[in-house]
Amino acid sequence: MEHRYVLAGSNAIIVSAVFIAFATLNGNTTILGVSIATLILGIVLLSIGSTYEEPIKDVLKPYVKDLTLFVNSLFEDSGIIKNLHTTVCLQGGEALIIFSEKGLPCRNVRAGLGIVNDAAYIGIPSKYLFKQREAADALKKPPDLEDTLRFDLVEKYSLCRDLELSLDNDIIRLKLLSLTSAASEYLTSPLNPVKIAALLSVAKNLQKPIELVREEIAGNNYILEMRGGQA
Amino acid sequence: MNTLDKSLLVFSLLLTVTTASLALLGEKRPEVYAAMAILVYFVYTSIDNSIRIRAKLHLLDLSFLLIFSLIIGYRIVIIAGIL
Repeated sequence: MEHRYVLAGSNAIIVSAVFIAFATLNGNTTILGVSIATLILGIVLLSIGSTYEEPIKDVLKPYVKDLTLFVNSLFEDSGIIKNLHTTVCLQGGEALIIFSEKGLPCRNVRAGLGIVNDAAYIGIPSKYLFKQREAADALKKPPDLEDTLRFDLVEKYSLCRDLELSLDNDIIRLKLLSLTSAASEYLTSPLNPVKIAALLSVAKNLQKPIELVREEIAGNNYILEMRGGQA
Repeated sequence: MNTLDKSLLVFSLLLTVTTASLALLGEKRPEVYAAMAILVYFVYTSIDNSIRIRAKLHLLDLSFLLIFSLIIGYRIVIIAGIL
């Protein structure tokens, strides 16, 4: 259920019902017709709001939670949960999401578990999520990074209602405004899909490795600070 | 504004334009407004699939189809001089 649409639909139905009664009593058929059209709009909005569901959410949500349990135990066993660094490396047409104790150069890491420079890491490959946008949206690719991120994170994935992007020297500051309730549920998980989607989207659009420097949950907003990673 | 918000905004605008046009043309038959609104709903939701993949509209479709058929049937009966 999406309460915004239910509220909008209910309002339209109530207002149109008042006007239908008024038009019927006065015999004004034009107002009656316009009110009926408004009533139909209200019914449509109410139906959409009351039956609204994110596509296949029911399957994906518990599956992500199960995967999180598995990844949590991996993090605990490898000892990197205390000091977690997240980096997105680009390898060919794929991305590799690296969780490690400290920042690692991308050339030395691979998918799976490993140790580089005495630091344990977990590398999760991302092929499909990373490539997802290309085929469908190649024809309407927006011009700059902020527009592209807005298209990916706001319009396509519905992670938040809006976003702000700022560049300060080599730090990219991405502020996701008004996270949706579904996205908020996963913020505290190490395998936070909101963070992963944002990092992947930035890395893909800049075509360079990206390292997460800082993350902050400020009310219903989520702030990510990142910079170019080591090649 | 997400994809569904935009789709609903476009649908509302289409419905507003259609209804306003009918009113400006001096249309006095209320069932014409209803029929046109239902027609806009079916045409738009057929073209823009983002509404249907997020909401279950089968019951609404059936109801609107029934109402639309009744309106058309009523108009045919009037024209045929049965009523």
